[in-house]
Amino acid sequence: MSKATPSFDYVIIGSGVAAAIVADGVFRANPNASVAVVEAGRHVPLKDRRKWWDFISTGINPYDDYHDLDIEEENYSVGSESWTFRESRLMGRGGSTVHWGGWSLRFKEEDFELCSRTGRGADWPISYADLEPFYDRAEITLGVSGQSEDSLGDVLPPRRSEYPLDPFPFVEADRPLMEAMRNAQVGFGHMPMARFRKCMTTGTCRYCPFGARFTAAYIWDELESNDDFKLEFFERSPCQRLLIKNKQQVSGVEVVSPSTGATRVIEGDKFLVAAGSYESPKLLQRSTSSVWTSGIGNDHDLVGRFLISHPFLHVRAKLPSNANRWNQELDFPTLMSRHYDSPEEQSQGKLFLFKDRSRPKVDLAGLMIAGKSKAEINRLSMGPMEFELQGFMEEFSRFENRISDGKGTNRMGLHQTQVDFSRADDFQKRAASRLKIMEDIVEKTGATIIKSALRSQRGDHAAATCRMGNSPETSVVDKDLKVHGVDNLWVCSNAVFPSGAAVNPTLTLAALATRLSDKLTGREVSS
Amino acid sequence: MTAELPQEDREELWELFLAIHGIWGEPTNCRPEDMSSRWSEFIQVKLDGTPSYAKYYERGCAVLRELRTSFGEGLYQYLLLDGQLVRTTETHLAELKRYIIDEFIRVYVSSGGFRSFGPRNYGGYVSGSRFRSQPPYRTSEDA
Repeated sequence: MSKATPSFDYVIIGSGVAAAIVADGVFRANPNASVAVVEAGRHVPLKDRRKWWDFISTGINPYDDYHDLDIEEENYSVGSESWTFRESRLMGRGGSTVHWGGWSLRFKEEDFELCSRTGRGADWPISYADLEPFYDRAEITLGVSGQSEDSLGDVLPPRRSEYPLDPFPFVEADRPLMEAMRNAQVGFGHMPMARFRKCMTTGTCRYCPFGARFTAAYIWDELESNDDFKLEFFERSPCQRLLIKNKQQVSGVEVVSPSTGATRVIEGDKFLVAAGSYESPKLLQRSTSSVWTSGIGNDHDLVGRFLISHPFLHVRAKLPSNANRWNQELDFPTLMSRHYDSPEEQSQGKLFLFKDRSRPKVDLAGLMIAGKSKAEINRLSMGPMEFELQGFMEEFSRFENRISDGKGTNRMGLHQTQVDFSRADDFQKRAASRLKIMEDIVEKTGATIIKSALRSQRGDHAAATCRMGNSPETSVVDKDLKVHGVDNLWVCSNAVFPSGAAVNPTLTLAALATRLSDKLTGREVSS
Repeated sequence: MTAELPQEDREELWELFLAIHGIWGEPTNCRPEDMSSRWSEFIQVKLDGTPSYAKYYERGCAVLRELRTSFGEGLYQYLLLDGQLVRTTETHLAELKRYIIDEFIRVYVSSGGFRSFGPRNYGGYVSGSRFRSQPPYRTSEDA
């Protein structure tokens, strides 16, 4: 006799920050709700002292096994621009917030009007003002530290609240770039960082022994610790497809066991696809039927298209000596500038600048392991000093850029991803103009520039593959993130962004998820 | 399950840790006594967790004692500074270098040994509170 098919009020595919915030909101509004979470990956060991000490003493990253393999071994890049997945997402409980850097920046007002202002990409169907109350709440959820005003006294984007936590002061080694920016009248500020309740130090961010860096996994921990909540977590359960009752109604999801190949169905009333910018569109594409012949929500062939990420620019320079023995003492940047993340730069691709978090760096332990004496290490510590100004450049979406299922599955049982990505003819020219801005700043430090380049395209901030909009002819989901033409299916991931601005996407995703949880539960918007 | 390390082996390993401080440490900036609780926790989780380091530590201590008869007071100079161990192909010596010496050096540096070379903070260092008035790292105001 087969087991009864489980059924829930909500079925959420994916367990990253968007999924966790929506689930949390659902239980706050209705403690009697039932929620199923379908996650392809496994439980990532966090706050584990052995893992942490292994990380410190050997450098072994506790989540290496949760990343995609190299593109040569897994996934496909078929466009004219090669695409790499290397550490760009984490497939496990908590999603990419398990390994993220915690940079938490709001998009600016003009980012929501990209097409109207520049003729490129797409507008958002909502404005910054619509999202601002949810940014406030998302910053509290994530525990964001920061300072509203930049060095020129500007507060951009405008905000009604202060940051929940004070900013981390600039590190000593920020000084050359700070002085250069000050001399050039380039506004700079503190990098807003997501911390979580009790940061005891600032030296172990990549794997925190206390859980002091925000990750969605901690929201799941708290929800699961409440015995009253009907939350069921289906780990190692890659979702194969969405099942429909009719064209307007999803009835369930089909998941498969990677170890046995057995499939099972989980039914529900409302469905949320929160599986990132790769898996969310692929799942919709795969969910074909007689009424959705190209996949759910894909009658206009828009699902998976418009893929963007952030081109990464860097300018490295060298100063002749390091008399103060500056060493990058934190594992994240404290200095950033949104001066060129401005309306004036939007048509060329906005530029978000930050100082490299890993330079200047003297690997003291590495030198000792190599048998260098104290005198030699001191000499090296005071020798030539390298630093780097880095930047994200805004990418404009193009219909041709698309992701879809590749051949076979990865080791978690997820369908491999095919990325077809190329760039507009004017991209290199625009990138060169952005690099020139960066070089001009770095030159003002008096250092010698030793490298200035665009790095190969990474997929960390992939977005726009199920973009939101007012019409099914131009978008996949509506302004409330509901799939056009389906009554009980929502998408919440970077995939719904119509454009990616120039800054990290996670805070904006958290704000959208907060807004969606209010919509789903009928909660009034708080100001 | 809690694994135990014989007291003489624990002392042998602690002596090696002290030797690391003796060669690279600046006594006015850092003290190994202040690192002993971190070092003890490190040893214990390496013994208890998977893979267990019990055999590495047992064999490593035997190698250290054997080498001491050959090198006498020059033992730690040989192990830590001469740079010969990097190229060794002898299994137990290579194991001593990789699983004990190199890891102890990283534990030493991240536990406060970095202070001998100027920084106030370093990857892996844990101290104090986020909310104290003095940031636990050198800031632009310090320069």
